[in-house]
Amino acid sequence: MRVNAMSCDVVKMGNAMQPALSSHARRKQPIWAGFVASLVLLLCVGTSRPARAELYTGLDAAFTMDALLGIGSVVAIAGNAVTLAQKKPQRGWMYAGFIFGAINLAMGPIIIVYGRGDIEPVVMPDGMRVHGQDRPDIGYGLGLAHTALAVTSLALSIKNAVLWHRLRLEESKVNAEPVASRTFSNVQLAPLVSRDLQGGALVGLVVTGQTF
Amino acid sequence: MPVLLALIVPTSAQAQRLSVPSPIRPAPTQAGAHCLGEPRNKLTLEHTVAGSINPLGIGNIVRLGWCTPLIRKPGLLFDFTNFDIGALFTNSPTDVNLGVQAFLSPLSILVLRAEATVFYIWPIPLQGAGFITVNSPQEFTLARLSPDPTGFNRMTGQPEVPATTAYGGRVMVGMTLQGQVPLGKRLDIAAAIGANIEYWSLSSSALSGLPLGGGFYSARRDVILLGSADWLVMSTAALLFNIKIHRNSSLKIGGVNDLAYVPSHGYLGNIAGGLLVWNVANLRQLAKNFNLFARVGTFTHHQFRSGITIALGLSIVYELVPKPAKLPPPEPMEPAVTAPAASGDPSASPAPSVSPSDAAPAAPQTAVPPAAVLDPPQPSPAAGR
Repeated sequence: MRVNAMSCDVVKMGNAMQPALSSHARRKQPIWAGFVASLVLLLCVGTSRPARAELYTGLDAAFTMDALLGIGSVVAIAGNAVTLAQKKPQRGWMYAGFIFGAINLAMGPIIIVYGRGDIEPVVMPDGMRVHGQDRPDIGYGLGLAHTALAVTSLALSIKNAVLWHRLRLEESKVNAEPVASRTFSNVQLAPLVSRDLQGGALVGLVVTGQTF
Repeated sequence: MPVLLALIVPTSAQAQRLSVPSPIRPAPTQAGAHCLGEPRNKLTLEHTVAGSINPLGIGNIVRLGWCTPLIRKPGLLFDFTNFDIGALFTNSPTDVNLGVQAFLSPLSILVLRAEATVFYIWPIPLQGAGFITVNSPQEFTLARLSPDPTGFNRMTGQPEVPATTAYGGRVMVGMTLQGQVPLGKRLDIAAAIGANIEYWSLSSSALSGLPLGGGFYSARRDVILLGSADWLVMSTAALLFNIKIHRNSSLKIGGVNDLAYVPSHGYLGNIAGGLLVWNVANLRQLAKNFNLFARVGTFTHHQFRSGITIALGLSIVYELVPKPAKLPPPEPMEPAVTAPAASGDPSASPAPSVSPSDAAPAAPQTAVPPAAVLDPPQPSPAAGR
């Protein structure tokens, strides 16, 4: 079964879902829409592989590398989406997003331009192999999928980076004055021998501590 | 005019086409700037993406490196000494490489380099892609680099050997001399020259029928290597003017020359061109040494290529360890001046506030771009275009 990646209109899909979302969900919609879009694109990438075995030599390796980079971008998108939703950006996910985003951004247009040719030869009755039909669907599908993954990945990473920097600025604004600590320090124990108001013996232990 | 010999980034000398990222060595702004401008151990992740036209190619380099200061003795000759070792991963539409890479700077002006990688090459139906054999170095032609993937010449219908797959290993050692002289408050001049020696060894079914004197095409170096293993010498020289357009940003303009020489059959290839690099030393402590670069050159020596060659790319370094330090607390702001209502006097507007981000310390400037900038990655999926 072969699916044309171009038929996956993620933008339309996202718009169609919007009215049904609550206002709370709508606030997070860009994040989850990006995540869902990435998964859909991954499916498009994966299912647009030709199922026939008679590929030109090397194309299986090329498609494998292609898929690995696409999956890497999807994972980076997922990580960035989650950390962005939690408002806890992490540098590792941001870096992954930048790296896979840059790679996929470079790959997309190249595949669109140079990846529309035939991918499997036709064997003639006399044994001669000739070129098969050009496959612009694969070129456009894969190229657009990589481009969409790249844009999503970079957008989420940049958004996280902006939030990361903002949080650091807010952190630096926190008063540097010493604040009360929950931790006792300089804890001392001392025996207590005394008498109470009625003159009775009072024996105990005094605990003293200090907080900052 | 004070003349100061300082260091620059270690460049990796390479030949016509590219290759590996270099260690990260920032600029001569302070003593003890061993690793990314600081005298401390660092774990870094360096990423470079670059492509070229004539020959057509694109590549990606990721390097995870650990840098440690080497000689902490104060002094210009030692301020940038370090040892940097890391894992290297490069890929392109037609190959993947995995290996280790190490840099040793016993002096600020000297960088020694060693690299070992294993790789796998595969063809795609584009010119120049994959493992292509030649019966002799004279077959280094555009036509031979464009074998038809069907195994039959598209024009003549005659059988021809198509591109196929191969795997192998590559070892490189090299050294770079580098220096930088300030010419003014905002202008430096930097120079670097390096030489590398590479040894390639491959295994492929296509090598079995190769006649004596035959060889294969190395797309990454754009040369023909003989037999199943051969040596290659490369050299890169660069002279750059570094214009500081901002305390955190600079523009580098200059010339670069890339040479490749194959001793086994005396082949020489050379590209001379101009290099333009926009460098941002510190991207809000999230990344360092961001470089956007463009190289435009021409082939002074080549078997068949001529005309203009263009390379574009970006290189960026992420500092994984140590974590970015906390930002300094914002300076206490003076009370804002209250604008008189309806005064109509534009000069009476409130005083602008200072963003805390402006208080971030400026990172040292890098005089010469990393080697990956001087030699952008250039796997060539379509060498013939």
